[in-house]
Amino acid sequence: MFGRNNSTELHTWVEARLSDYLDQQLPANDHARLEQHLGECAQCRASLEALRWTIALVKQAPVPAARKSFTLPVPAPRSSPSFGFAFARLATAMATLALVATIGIDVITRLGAGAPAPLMAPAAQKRTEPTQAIALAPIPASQPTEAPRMGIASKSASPAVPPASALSATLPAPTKAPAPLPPSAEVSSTQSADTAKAQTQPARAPVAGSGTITPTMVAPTATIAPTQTATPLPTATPAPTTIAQVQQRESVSASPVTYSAPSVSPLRLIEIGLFFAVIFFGTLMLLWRRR
Amino acid sequence: MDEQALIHAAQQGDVAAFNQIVRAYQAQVYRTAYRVLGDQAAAEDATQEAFISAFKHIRAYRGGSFKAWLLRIVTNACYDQLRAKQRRPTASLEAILLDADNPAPGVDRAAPESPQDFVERQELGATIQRGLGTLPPDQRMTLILVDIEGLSYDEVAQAMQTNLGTVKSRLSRARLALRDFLVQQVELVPARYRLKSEPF
Repeated sequence: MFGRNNSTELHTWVEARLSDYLDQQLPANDHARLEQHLGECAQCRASLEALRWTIALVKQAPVPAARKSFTLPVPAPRSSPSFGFAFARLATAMATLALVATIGIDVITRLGAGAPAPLMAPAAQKRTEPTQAIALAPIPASQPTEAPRMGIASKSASPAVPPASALSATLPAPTKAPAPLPPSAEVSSTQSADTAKAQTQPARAPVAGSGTITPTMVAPTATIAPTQTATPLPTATPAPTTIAQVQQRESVSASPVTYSAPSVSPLRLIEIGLFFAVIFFGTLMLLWRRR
Repeated sequence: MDEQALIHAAQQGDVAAFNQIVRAYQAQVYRTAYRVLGDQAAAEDATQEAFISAFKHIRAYRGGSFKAWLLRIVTNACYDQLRAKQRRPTASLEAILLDADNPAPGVDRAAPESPQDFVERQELGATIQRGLGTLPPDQRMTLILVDIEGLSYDEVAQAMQTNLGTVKSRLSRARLALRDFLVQQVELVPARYRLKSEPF
């Protein structure tokens, strides 16, 4: 591998393998060749001895002991949550779930109705009754009671179309409407009787009217019916008084003075109550946990 | 409880079981850190960080030599300390080590050892430490793990995340460089520790 004259390269080759030689890590052929060279070269033997001495010195060097232990602090066992905290946590969870469910029901109900439900519509509708009752009494006899009534009735009804929820709230009223009408009103005109029937039976309304009346449009007039029973009409009235006439007068002369008291739906009240319950129990839980 | 059971318990979060492992290895870990860093405070910091890191990542241990796995963490902690030391150099504790009246804390004086022997041993330790300080960190760590801590080449390769050939070459260069340093600074080596034969 190395020529006899190239001793420097040989020494370098041996030097690089002395460490592996000491640790018995050399391949067999390299090991044999290195031992052969060590037997012939005093310089490489001295180099090997110095390397052995170095390793021995390193192992003899004093090692300072650590001044402290390196064990980790053992965490204290966690105490189980108290009854109050567990109750507050459970109450918060239940109230939150109930709030979410209530809001969900509210949203589904509104979507099902097709339009946002006005909170005060039923109340406002009922509060207009006294005004309409006043308008019922003095009706001039010369006023036409034929076809124009229906036209006016349909016109007056159209701007005040209530939403479905308002309609449902006022539906029971028309069933009692025909009973208190004075007999004179029923006898005088068959057409006015038809109109009254159409108003009391919403399903037949399109047949009786001009074809544009819908059950929704009939609803407002039906709510007036109880007022007619409460207000005794004078028998001397020459012309029959119908609900259409009432609405005609209402649209021409009397402007209904409506007042509304703030009323909130029960569902909304439940939502507000649950919201405050969540806040209350959540705060209680946090306070308990901090303590 | 054997080591594997303690490791398994520590992997489940048992700090008490991990502390038993710490007690078994802390002397070796600290010794290695001290030899690499040459400073007690830095070695203590590195040791503590290594054990904390080991506990945090003990789930990553998948078997094999636990000592090698632990020393790999120690190696990284020592490298972190060396980088920090380069950024903010501190005073050496070498003077304290050489002072016979104020030996390094924790260095136990052997019972039969005379005060002179004790001083000479301290001088030897200081010289070795100075020689180790002249080596590149990779070579220094390899030499410490093999010649002082007695790890096998395979364990060193695992601890230093390298291959066997690299370990051999680093160790060879480190030994030769330290030998050259000690031969050149032989007057710093106490007389009874000097090489009897003529240097090459």
